[in-house]
Amino acid sequence: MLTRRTLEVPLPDGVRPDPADLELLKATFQAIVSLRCEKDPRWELTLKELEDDGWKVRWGLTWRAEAKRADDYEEATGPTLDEALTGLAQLVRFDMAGRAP
Amino acid sequence: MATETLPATFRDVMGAELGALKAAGLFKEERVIHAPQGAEIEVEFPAGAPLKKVLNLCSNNYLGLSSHPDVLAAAHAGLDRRGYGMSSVRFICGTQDIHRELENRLTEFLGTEDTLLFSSCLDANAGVFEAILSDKDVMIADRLVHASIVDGMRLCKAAQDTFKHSDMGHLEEKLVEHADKRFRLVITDGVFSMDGDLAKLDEIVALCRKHDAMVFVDDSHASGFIGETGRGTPERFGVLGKVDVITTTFGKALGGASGGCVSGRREIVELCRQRARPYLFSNTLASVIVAATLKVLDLVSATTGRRDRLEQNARIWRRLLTEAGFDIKAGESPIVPVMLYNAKLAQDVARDLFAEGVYVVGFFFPVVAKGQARIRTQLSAAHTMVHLDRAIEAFRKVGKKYDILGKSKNEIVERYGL
Repeated sequence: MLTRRTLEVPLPDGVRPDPADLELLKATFQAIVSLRCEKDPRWELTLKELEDDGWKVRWGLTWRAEAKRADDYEEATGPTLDEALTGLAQLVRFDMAGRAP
Repeated sequence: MATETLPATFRDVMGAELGALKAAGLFKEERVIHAPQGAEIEVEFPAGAPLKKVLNLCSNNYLGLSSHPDVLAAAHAGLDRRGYGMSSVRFICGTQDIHRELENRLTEFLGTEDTLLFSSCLDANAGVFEAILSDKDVMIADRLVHASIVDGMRLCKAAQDTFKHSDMGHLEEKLVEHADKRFRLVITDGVFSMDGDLAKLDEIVALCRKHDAMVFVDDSHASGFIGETGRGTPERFGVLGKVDVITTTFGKALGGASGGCVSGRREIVELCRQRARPYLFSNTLASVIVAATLKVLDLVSATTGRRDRLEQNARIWRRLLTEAGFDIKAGESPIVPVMLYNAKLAQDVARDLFAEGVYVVGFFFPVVAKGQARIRTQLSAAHTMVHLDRAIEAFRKVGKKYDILGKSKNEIVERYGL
């Protein structure tokens, strides 16, 4: 099982980040770490198998937005936060209005 | 027994969820009908109660064909000539001559180029988008489309977007916003099931032509009776042959059993035949339904008598409710919502109407938007003036009891809350 490691970064004196700032900082660090880290070597075989089967595989970082209300759950991803939120808003909106058979 | 192996935690969790549904007033209980579908039916409700004969104002039996003797005879004959089951999907060994015949008849009736049968319109809607669109495309749907369209859109990799209900300005904004997509498919119901209003199909088609987009219409609550000869909302709005994809059901006006179809441009229908998963992986439509639906098409093509009577019934019913002082949604379809706004009031009124011999259902959140609780009444060509007179008497009596006659929305909300 992988051990989750964390990094503490002291902020300069006087800086009072709001929740959005903290989200951005977190996402930035996660992106840097993800870009820097190599994938598990076991994936090489899987990727080769997929390519042999004719798949062109690519990957990248995405934003994930989610909405939860009681048992209702929706999530959307996108290459930008705007796109993820747009997708999420559409999915939620689909089930906002009334419907009957 | 299999039930003994259910983990206790599973039972606890499911039990709690069922309890929560009951506590929220959202638990659905089936009312058992001991008669063929019709204007008057015998209902057992609650379970075990003596049968009660009631006037049915909540079925989709718009043309009164669900138990029509000619339809029954055609079903019997179909059973005798083509058997009961096909034990196959269509493309292996499940296509009979009558399946093709029905597809051709529907193509002619709907004014399209080709048609493909499905087990239901829900299946048609679940399969069509994924079959014809890809991630290069976008689906732009009216925000009040039927739940099965939403499910179908979720199964499709094309981008999803919505426009405000029947807001043509907003639709045009969306068409412009998605101009970079390969195909734009605008999706709407022909008649919206909760409010009974019609899509502005002429305007939608014009906008789509202007922006080189395609039009999709689910005409389940229209086929057979909307339009001069019952060909649906495309006929009503003068755009027959201009809608790229139509889905519809045989489970409402067209006999009321089950089954549906995708009808439209030849290539679209052919792609559905090749790729639509509910078509590929689900059994063929039962021959008995095909035979009966062919007879239904004979009946609705031979005369407009039933759709004319339905139109007249809807007009009379709207007038009677308005004169009695009820707040109804204006419109021209046989779906006539009586607005009560408060969920408990809608349930209480429906219950009291049932006691008075009129079967209707109260709808409230989440079936309709919050504060929009209502009773949805649905007319049928099978209703007579005697039925409508009896129904309005019951509505007047119950309306008087709750002091809602002649009251505005604000007055009802002030008294009962939202």
